Amino acid sequence: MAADYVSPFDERVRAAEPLAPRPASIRGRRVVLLDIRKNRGAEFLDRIETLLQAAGAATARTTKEIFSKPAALALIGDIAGQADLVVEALAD
Amino acid sequence: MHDLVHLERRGIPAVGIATAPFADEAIEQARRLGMPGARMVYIPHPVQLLTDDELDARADAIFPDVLAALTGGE
Amino acid sequence: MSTMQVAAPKFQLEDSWETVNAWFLERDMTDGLPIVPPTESRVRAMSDYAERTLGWSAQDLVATLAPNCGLATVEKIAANAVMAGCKPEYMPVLIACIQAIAYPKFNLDAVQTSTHNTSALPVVNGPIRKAIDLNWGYNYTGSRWQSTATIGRALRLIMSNIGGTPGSVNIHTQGHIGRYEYCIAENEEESPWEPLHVERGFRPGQSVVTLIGSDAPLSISDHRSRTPEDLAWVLAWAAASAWSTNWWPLEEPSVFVICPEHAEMFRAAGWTKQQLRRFMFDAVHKPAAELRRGETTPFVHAADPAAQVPKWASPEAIVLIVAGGEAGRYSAVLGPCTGMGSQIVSREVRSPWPLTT
Repeated sequence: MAADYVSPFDERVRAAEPLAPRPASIRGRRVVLLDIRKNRGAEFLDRIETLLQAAGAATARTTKEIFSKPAALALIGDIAGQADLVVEALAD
Repeated sequence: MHDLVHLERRGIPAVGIATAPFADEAIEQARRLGMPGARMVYIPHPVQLLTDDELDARADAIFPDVLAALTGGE
Repeated sequence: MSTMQVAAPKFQLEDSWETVNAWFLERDMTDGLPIVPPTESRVRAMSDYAERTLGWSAQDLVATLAPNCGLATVEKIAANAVMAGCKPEYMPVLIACIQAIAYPKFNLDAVQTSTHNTSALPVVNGPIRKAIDLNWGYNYTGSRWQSTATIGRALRLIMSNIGGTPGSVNIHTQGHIGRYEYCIAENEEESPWEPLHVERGFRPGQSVVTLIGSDAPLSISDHRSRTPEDLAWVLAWAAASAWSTNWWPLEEPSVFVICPEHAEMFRAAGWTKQQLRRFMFDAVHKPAAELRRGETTPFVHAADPAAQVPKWASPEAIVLIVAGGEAGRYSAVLGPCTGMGSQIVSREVRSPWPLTT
């Protein structure tokens, strides 16, 4: 005999949203590197930044308030206002 | 993952870089936040005790994947 | 009253304890232990109690839980409470715990998803302790005590089933026994001081839960100190390696659970909580040069080698509560949830009106 049970978890499935359109190349684009402020992240991004510049991108650096929380929406807004592309690192 | 999703929603292509043990968590969070295609690139764990040269080598190795994530290539 | 209401789906399974448990275990919706099947009637009994006593409706949204922004409705909280083995009268405390961990400054996201072995510790104060027979004496962490054990367990199941994804989003390197159940009540009756909730601005007669991100406890034995100074020194230095041996100073709170016998020594000497806190803060200092080994802080690196570095950034990082049995000179310290911006949050156990942030 069957019985009815109440689901204990959030079973909502969000409809998948598309990613932002990608450019064909990073050449001439402005890439913001977002450092989440974990140890070694800054050095890692130093190297990524060098590689991005060698590939023809302009770069800028910024940091999150703390690695363990999503960035403040104000920071996201600032980044979105100046960036064509974003690289966020380094979670370990 | 929240950051990447917020940026993508604002039309900014983004890629996150993490060490490999975070992959399962990132994939699941992306799905639950409604953006299963959010782009992540993974490097081997650990990184804390790497020399600067070793850290640079990790960055060099995944840079093509970073470019691909930002420009839509596979 | 919350304006958002969400109905929890129902599903059908064979009415068999084995079948239901196997189904939940296969989907990682439990903590690995058997559950009480969340039948509609059991869940309704839980949510009806919350409605009768506090005015919550079953489909009211209590909180949104990180990292997956899961919707913790009264009904879903009730379903997990049933699974954990709770009685309906535990619902008000559980709801208050959920509200507290959802508060942004608690940073549930970090507690849930970091490799740091931390968990959410509820400390319960006020009349609700007696009303639902919580344990603040011997074995206050819950063994053989239904209220303490099941409220702690329900909170854990909710964090996993609603805030996280069952089976994933938990990469604590070592894990934490508090991930099974973690809920303690303060022994206000044998404490010489104001209880934690009064210290944090509530009235003694209010029932309050205080949520603290905490590591697993370290037992502190002291059977021979004959002065409050010696005892306070022993207690303080037991925490010297909390979080990490040389990571000084700590900004985040370390929780000291003082047993009644130890508390009595301070009471007899007339020490206030603040005096004890100040003494402990002052007691644990080291020259920066002795802390420059292995993992240490930028503060230590930058300091003059001879400069005295405190273990805690301020005396306020030392949280003091009293709990434990009347016999036995064992206190405990719970290390902090360090570096993740998690702050202590207190919530009164009460009606949903008026909503506060």
